[in-house]
Parts: sequence; C-alpha cells; structure tokens
Amino acid sequence: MAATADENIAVTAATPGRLSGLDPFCLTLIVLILTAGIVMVTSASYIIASGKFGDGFYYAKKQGLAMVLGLTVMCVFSQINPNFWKRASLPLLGMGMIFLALVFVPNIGVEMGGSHRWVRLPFGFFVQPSEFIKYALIMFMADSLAKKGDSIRDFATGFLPHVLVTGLVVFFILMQPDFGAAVIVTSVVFLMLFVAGVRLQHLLGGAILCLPFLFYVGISAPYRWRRWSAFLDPWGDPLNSGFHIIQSLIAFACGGVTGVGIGKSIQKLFFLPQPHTDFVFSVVGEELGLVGVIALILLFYLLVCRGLVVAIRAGDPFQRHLAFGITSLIGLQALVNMAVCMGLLPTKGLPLPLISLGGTSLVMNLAGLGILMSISRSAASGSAGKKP
Amino acid sequence: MYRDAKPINWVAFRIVLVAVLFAAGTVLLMVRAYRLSISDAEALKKLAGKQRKLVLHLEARRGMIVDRYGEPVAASIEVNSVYVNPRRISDKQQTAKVLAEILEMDENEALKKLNENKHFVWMRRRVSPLIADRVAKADLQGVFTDTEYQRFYPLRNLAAHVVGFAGMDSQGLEGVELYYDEDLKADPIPVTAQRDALGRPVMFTAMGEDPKRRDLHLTVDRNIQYIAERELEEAVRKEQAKGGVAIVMDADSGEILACAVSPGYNLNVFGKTPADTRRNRAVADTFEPGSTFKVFLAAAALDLGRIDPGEKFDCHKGLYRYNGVEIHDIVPHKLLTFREVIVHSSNIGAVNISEKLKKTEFFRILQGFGFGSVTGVDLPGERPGALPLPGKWSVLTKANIAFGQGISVNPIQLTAAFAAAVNGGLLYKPHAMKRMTNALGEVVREDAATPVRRVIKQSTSEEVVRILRDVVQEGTGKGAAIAGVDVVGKTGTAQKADPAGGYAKDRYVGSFIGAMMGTTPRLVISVAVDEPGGRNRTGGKIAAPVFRKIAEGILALCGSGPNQADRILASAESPFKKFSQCPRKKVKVRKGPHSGEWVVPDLKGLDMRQVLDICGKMKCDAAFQGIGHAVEQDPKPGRILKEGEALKVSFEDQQS
Repeated sequence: MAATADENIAVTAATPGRLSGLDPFCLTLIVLILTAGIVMVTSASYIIASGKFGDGFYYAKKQGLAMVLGLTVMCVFSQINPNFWKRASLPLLGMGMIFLALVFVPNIGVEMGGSHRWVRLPFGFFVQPSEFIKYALIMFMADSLAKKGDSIRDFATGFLPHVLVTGLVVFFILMQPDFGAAVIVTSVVFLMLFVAGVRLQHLLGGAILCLPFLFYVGISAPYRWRRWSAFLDPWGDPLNSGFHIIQSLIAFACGGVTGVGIGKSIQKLFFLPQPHTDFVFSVVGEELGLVGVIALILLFYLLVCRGLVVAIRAGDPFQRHLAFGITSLIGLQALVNMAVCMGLLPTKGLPLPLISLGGTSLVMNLAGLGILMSISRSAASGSAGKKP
Repeated sequence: MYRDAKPINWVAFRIVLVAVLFAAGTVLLMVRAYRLSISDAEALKKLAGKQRKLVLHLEARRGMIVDRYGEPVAASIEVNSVYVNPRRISDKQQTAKVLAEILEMDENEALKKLNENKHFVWMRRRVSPLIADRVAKADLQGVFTDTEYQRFYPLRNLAAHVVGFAGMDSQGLEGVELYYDEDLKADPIPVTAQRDALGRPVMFTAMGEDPKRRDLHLTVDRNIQYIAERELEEAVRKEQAKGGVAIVMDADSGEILACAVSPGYNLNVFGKTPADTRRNRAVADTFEPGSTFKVFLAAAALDLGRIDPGEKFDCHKGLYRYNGVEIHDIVPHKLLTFREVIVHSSNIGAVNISEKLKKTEFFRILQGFGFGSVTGVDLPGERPGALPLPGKWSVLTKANIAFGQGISVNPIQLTAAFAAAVNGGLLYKPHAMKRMTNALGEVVREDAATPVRRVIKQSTSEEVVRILRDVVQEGTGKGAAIAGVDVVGKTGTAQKADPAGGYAKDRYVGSFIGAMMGTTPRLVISVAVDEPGGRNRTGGKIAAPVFRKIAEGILALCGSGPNQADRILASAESPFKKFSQCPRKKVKVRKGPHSGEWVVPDLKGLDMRQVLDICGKMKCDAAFQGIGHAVEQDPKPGRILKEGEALKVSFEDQQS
C-alpha cells in the first residue's frame, strides 16, 4: 500500500500542468452527463418526492450528495496506480460476494418491492451490492485474463474458470432477483472474454448453453414473461402489460424535436413507471425532445469511444482488460436502458448510468471512471507505467 | 517484441470490433429516437391527448338581476363553504372538536356529520372568509373549504315580489329568479384540462367570462318602485289594512315600472318569511274588482255603438229591483247620463247600461281585454281569475259583471286591461323583463312592446278617457286629482266574497286605477288596498290618494313640477330619473397592517354597484340601507376592517 502511494505521488509529479491527471476529455463528458442527470432527476422526481416526503427536492438532494461523494471517489481513484487493483481484485470479489449474500440476511438486507437488493449500512445509508460486485468481477476477470496470456484459447484454463466464477455471481444476483443486472454482467463478461481472445466456438457454445437457462429464468417469474410479451406486442394489452412501454413511447412522441421544456413533462406524472430511475430517459425525451435525446446518446457514445481508446492505448494487458470492462459495463447499461425506454428491448429494471437516481450506482460508476482515468493517465505517461 | 506485439494487436482489433458494435447500437438508438419523436409521433400524441384529457366543471356565477338602469338588485357573491370527506378522517373525535369550535356549532352535531358513511358532507355552508381561513389553517385531514356563490340582494325589500329569490344551490324559487331561472342559472362550466395518471388536473387554461352567463335587466325602475312601496306601505298602515298592491305600468308598452306588494319582506332572509307574505299578490291573488270594472262596461257599450254618451238612465233613487234582487247605490240618483253613471259610479245605472248589451258581445269584449285568462306576464304563479262563459250566465250575471261582481281579476291583469282602455285600444302583454344581456353586456334578447290585440276602437278609447277624466275632476276620484296634470281614473270599492257564500259585510278591497295621460310615457297606476280596517272603506278615500302621491312622486323624481307644461318623464334616450351627472369616483382599496385587514375607503357618493365591488374585494359582510348613493358608512373611512366583518352603508337619493 505504501509503495502504491509513493508511486502515485511520483506519477502526479511527473505530469505537472495536467488537471491532477484527470483525463480532460473524459472529465468534460462526465460533467456534461452528470449535469443533465441532476437536472432531469430533479424534474422527474419533484412531484413524487413532494408526495412522499413533503419535499420536492428530497431525491435531488440525495442524488446531489451521491454525486459529490462519487466525484471525490473518482478523483481519488484517478490518482491510484491502476495496477493496485490487480492485487485488490480477489479480496474485493470476496467482499462483494459476502455483501451479495448479506442481502438475504434479515435486518441487514432490505426488502423493497419483493426484491432483496439493498444492504443497510450504519448512519442510515443503503447500498446495492450488485452495483459493487459488477466492478469487483470486472477487476477479477481483467486480472485473470491478463495472467492467462496465450492459454486463454484453452477451454479448461481460458474459458471454464471465468464462466464458473461469473455463473456464481450471476446466480446470486438472480436470487435477489435482479434480472437486468444479471444479463448485463453476463454480457460484459462475454465481451471481455471475446476481446481477450477466447475461441469463438467456446463463446458461442457457452452462449447456446445459456439459452435454455435464460429461457427458464425468463418464464419462471410471470412478470418477466409479461414484460417479454408486452415488448413483442405492447398494443396487445395497452392498459396492462403494454402500458409502461406505451407510456414511454408517448413521452418521446410528445417531446417532438425540441421537447416540451424542462419540468413540463406530463408523462412523469405517474403515467411513466419510475420516471426518476429506470425511465428517466423517457422524461429527457419529453422535456428536451429529439435534440436532447440525440445529444445524450452522443455523449454516452463519445464516453464509450474514449474508454475504448484508453483500452487500446493501455500497454498493460490488465489495464487494457480493466479499461475495456469498465467502458463496456457503462456503455452497455446505457445502451440497454435507452433501448428499453424506446421499446427496442423488453423492460428489465436497469438504471441509466450517471443519470438515474441511485446513489450506489452513481458512486460506483464514477469510481469506475476514476479508474479509467488513471489508466488513461498511465498510458499517456508512456512507457513509465508499462510493464513487460 | 514481434511475438509480443501480435496478440496485443489482435486484442486491439477485437476492441475495435466491439466499438463498431457500440456504434451500430448508437445509430439504431438515434434512428429509433427520430421515428418516435417525428415520423411516428402523431398516433402516439393522439393517444396522449386522449389519456390526459380531463373535463372539469367549474362552478359558474348565476346571472345578475339589475333594474332599468343597471343597478343590481340581485347578485351572486363569492362565499366559502366547509365540507368533509368522513372516510378520510381517522380521528373523528378530535376533528369534530376543532371544527365545532371554529364553526361555532354543537360538537355532537359535528361528530354526527363526520360519522356519516359518505364521501362528501357539508359541514357548514356560506361561512365568512375569516372562518374558512381558520378552517384551512387548522389543516385537518379530510376537511376542505370550497368557494361557492351566494345570492345577495343589496336592496333587500325593494321589489321583493318581482325579483323573488334563489335558494342555497342558486336555483330560482320565486319571482323573476324563478321565471328566468333557465337563463340566470349557472351550469357548471366545462373546462378542458390535462390530467396526470391519477386523474388530478395539472394544467388549466385560464377562464374568462362565462359565455353562457345572462344578466336580466328589469323594466322596474327602482326609484319609482321605491316611491310606490313607500306610499302603499303608508296607506296600508294608516288604513290598518291587511295588505295592498300598487302597480305602475307604461300604458303603451306593458312595461312594469313598479310592482309594490304589501306586506313586503327582506329577500336576504327569505327563509324567515311566511309563504303567505312571499306570495306575489299582484299576480297570484284574484279579487272581484268592483266599480273599476265599469270602465270596461263603458268601453264595451261605446265600442258596440249601443249607447250615446248623452243617453239618460233611470237610477231609481238608489234602490232598484232587478230580477228579484235589490241593487243599491251608495249615493242615490234620479236620472244620470251615460257619462254620469260612470263618473258617479252608479251600480243601478251600470245594470241599465248592461241591459243594452248582448251576453256574447259583452263577453267577447271582456275576453278581448284579457279577463278570464292569464296575461302571460313574466312572473310565476299568475292566476287567470274567473270570467264565466256566457252560456253559464244566470239572469243576474251580466248585471253583476257590469259593476264588477261575479268575475275576478288579478291586479296585473286589471292594470293591463285598463291601459288598453285608455291608450287607444291596444292590449299589451305586461312584462318585467326589459332585456337579457350576456357577460360582455351585449343584448341577447329583448322584450319589446308587442300589442297582443286591438280590443276597442281608437275613438272609443278616447271617449272612455274623456269620461274617466271627469271621474277625477268631479266624480268619485277627486282624491286622485293633481293640479295641472291630466289624470284619468276610476275608483272601486268591492265587497269581498265570503267563503261561506255571498259577500262579507265588512271586508272590502278599496281600489283606484288611473293614468297620467299628458306625460311621456303615459303611465297607468293601479292601487288596491285589501281589507282596510279603519273608517275609510271606499276606493276614492283610500286608494285614490295613494295614486296621487305615487304620481306626484314620479313627477318630482323626474324634475317635473306639478304645474310644468313640459311633461316628458322619460324617453328612449333618457331614463326617468335624471341622475346628478357627477363623474364617478374611483376608489382604491388599500391593505391593512395585517393580512386579512383592509383600510376602509371613503364610499361617499358611490352607487350601490361600486360599493358592492369594494365589499367583494375586502371580503366583508355588506349591509345596505336605502337606495341611491352612499351617504353614511360604518366603520368610518380610514378605519381598519377585518375580512368577514360587517360594513354598513346607507344610501340616499340626492334628489328626492
């Protein structure tokens, strides 16, 4: 730990004039997205919050607090040598698993709306362990993939262990149940395996083996089946299962090109399900219109591009896999959430990263981006950070 | 290095592949966004409009009733009402206790209301803004306040029987309030708003004036009405009478300028008035007219050409046996000309005249005057009176009718018929509505003078007028004479029919019906005093002076002295009352030191409508007295008045 700290100081000193080593391109994008996020969450949650807590800014304040915390964490993490996470990955994964299990422990785990997704911390905080385990798993995978080298192409050493670890994590997530997070984690792991060079036949075989399992999980809970059928034909039952999708589509339609104006959405007034979390993008569509929607899509796309560029530039395989994992996690969540809001994918219960209300998700994503920045910095500072 | 570089490049290549995947996803999202927001938007927007549409019904303000000059006689003002939703009250005991204290009601009674198994129960309606404010501040669960309109009659007793009143829910119950209820009543105004998914309204388009509102303009002149009521009341009191009716009507249009009914009552507390008092005797009560009916006998005889005005009739010295019945005259006469029979009101003469008429032709003319059927006046509860068909006439009926017995009329009917007899022979439908205007003040309906029919020839009418002029100058109607004014008229003293049969010995209706013929417009004034209890019983003694005083009052009101040659009282352009043309004062209402307090402005010289506006602004309880312009007020100008407190204002006519 002491060594790491020394390295940090050395590296920071080596790049004077830069914004404390914060990737300026990345930072600009993050600030823009966060600004849009806090505005939209405030607008979308005001009525709900004033109804629930008598304070319209209740959620906005919480989100603002999480944002300050997240930005602090991001700045700190951006200063830490990315190789630190190589050593930390296994303990973090273990911690994450324990957290994930704590969800089911009475008095510590909190049940909300039929799912166990939160853990109670001291001082009245709640966290979502599934947000934490996503990053822990990505770190573990990056470390493991970097170590495997060429043997990655071997089924027993390159493919199977990763799939087993992922399967265990996904199993716990599904127990909560959090189908959306499970799908995202699985997809990110597959992408990472693909990029690392796992044979395609292994991947495809794995994917095919996953299908009956997916199908079973998909139809085991009746609400998932309803979501699926609603996705296929929202107009078949517009007042029940198709209602949420249709309301979301209406939001985009009402927004038109320039939107109805910030704060003026009607759809957020209880037509949309969770307008401040999962469907905040629909509120963007109504209040800011096509212009706002395209702008937000582009911001996320640029952030993903920047992350992938960082991954490509990173000399160290661990850093590369880590940068790629973080980027694809954020990018995929954004892509899927937006697609869900626009009726391109069935509803899953996924937040829009950096935008949707949710402290854990926000802090974790900003932490991840901090790590991405640290990789960016270490790649930019040339061969100094590169290890044979 | 070479072997090292190759796999790294492959990883980079695969990352680029993933980047392409992300790019494709991004493009897909954008295309979808474009289609949703632009190309496919119409159908979705239509759906949005449908699911967000909400039609609200806002309570509308009942139309105003104003007099001839637009001075309000009935207006709706905003008040507050308190209602509860018992199903949303958890602690009923506590709520009842708090409400009972604020609303000053019995706690048990309040609790009883809170225990009703309903969604909506009125706690107390029409409370002062102050109390409503305290209820709102108490912030009780399930207790709400609402704005309602309350009918307010600033002139209280004035023209009470014409105006009538509207009930708690703004429904017309009496008078023109009832007759024109369809026009005046305010249906809730549907307003299209947007709603949220829970059905609550979120956006309103601000509403201007209610397009369906109708204001009723009466033909009644409140100054003339005031004079008529004052004089009638005075006579009823002096003669210890049971009641009375005085009507002022435009002889050439049927417009009712005043309709005074005694006893009167305060419209603002109509609930405390017995139904007997609230009944509009001017239309709902019929009586046997007595001698005033000789006017129509004369008109019939002259019009049919059966009589020469100079023709003489034997009046049998006051006692005449006719078909086995004794007919008396109060003053015995020997021989009277036709003209004198009317002038001295001889019953025996009248019977002799009627002998010259055939049943059917006499009946036809009486029917022409409107007897036996309703006039169609726009006041509710009119009764037609009785005019028996000629086939059912006994040997005595024609003779009885000749001097006003055996038939019955209502006062408005009699007045309208008299107007037809003197105005040249045209019968007009009496009416109290001048016009109906909408919220912008545009006329939507007008009740113009429309003759119902010609009853008698012009020349007949002129002859009738000549005879009636003599009645006032030298006959029974001397009490109605005004020096220098062309007054015609006829007295009547009718015994009232006894419910047991025959006629009651000492129950009379003393009446006088006359007209000022030299003025513009020509005014018919009829006065009937019911059951005078004093020494005077005859119409000439009781009713004729009332006629004179009302006529003199009107002349004075119009600035026309009794001896003046110019007798134009009113024309189409200028009203009866020549108002002092002082410019209208503008008054600003200032807020007091605390919220809910106002600085009372100086109201002197303001008319009633202006004062009413100010009272509305200050949310105070207006108590008006008199008519005309404000002369006195309590509290005095500059004092602080709390909302809901009373502001007393006295009005006086500056000219009379």
